[in-house]
Amino acid sequence: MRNGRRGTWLVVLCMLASLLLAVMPLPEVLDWLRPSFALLAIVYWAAALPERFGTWTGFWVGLFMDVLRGTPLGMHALAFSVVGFGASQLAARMKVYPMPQQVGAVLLLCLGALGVTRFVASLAGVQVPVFWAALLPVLVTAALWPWAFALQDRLRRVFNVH
Amino acid sequence: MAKTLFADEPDSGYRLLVAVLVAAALVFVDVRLDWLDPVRSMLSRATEPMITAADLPRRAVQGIGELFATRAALQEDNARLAQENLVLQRHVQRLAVLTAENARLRELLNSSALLDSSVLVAEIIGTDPDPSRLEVIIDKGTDSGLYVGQPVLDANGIIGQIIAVGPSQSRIILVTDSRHGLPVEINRNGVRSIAAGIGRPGHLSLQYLPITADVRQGDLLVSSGLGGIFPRGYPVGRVASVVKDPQETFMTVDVIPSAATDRARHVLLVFAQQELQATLMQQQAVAPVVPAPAAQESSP
Repeated sequence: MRNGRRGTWLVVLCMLASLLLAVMPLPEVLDWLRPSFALLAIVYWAAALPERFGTWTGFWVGLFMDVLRGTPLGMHALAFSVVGFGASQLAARMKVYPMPQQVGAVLLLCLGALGVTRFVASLAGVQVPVFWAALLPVLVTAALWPWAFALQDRLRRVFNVH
Repeated sequence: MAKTLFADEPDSGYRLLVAVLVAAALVFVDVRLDWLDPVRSMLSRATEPMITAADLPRRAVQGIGELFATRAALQEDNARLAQENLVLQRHVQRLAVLTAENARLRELLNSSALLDSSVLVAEIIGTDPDPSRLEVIIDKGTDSGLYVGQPVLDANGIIGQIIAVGPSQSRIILVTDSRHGLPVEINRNGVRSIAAGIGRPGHLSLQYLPITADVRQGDLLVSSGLGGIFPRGYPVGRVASVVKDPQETFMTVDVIPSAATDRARHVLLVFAQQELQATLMQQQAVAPVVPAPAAQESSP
């Protein structure tokens, strides 16, 4: 047994909190801007501990999101596993990237997720918002990365998860 | 699994491939077949507490607001409600007579169109985070006997129908959602149409009405019962504007829904009589089942 199970509870907690924020009722104006907190959590943990979290983390969080949002099972799971995979591949680079470049990487990952979600939605016949409306939350998500990073990095160090 | 083989390496492309294939298969099965319904129902046991938890801040704010409501405001509220109650009671008295008479007349006509229905009250505890999907979540589910396709009303009219049920929560699509259509007729003259949502809260549009049709501003639309989902005769909305462009085949009719689609907190779930009885047989009244006035009056 590897000693890499330490602190899994913290990651699960982060994911649950991000999912909670994803369905929290907000005023309608803010709904158009609502960032994908789940993506911020997946990207952080997959980039910080790529040997423990990645594709399957994204898959399970996405599946939970599908149930929570009532979308076809597997739609978010597919998009989030791609993001989890991408983030774990980028892990080594993310550690040396300066912040603006990290934001750029997160933006690319989020755009990837958006593309996959819309592709699957179009195949499954699920209605999606018009493209520019869907783009706004992606930009907000990427813009929030520095804070999401700082918060989760702090948590990880305080609870010594590695 | 492969995890022990690649102990300290990031995910390989194979793992992504497997995840993508599994997810794609899930989507396909979920969209095309109904095998996953029990799985979804099981998983929603886990997600339901989250929906409830997400609603807590709003509830807390509301609770604090109520705590500090002034005595004067409460008295004013009370007086207003007492007045409203009086008016409603008068309506009910008249309704009782009319219902009885209606039942007699229908018996004379040998008609079975009378839809006795009963209702259950539920509270809206969540909305869909995607603003382009006008859906809400309520705090009752299969445990209270709800079913997919069940019509949902608020105090003033039809608000939507159930599209997914979990054990103790269900998802409602509002009539204003652009994926929703509702068979209606104009109360004044019986002209039939379909009131379709256009994805804008507080607006509906009448479809396929030729420009010669008799529709006027202010006309009341009621459900026609033709789709077999919504009971006949419940108010749907009022015509706000009619645009007749001679170049077009159909007129453009804007309708304001009677139900407070974007503000309601409590909704009524309508049971066709047999559905209700089946539920009551299963479990002795778990939730307050309020018989509609019509149901009380039809027995004599």
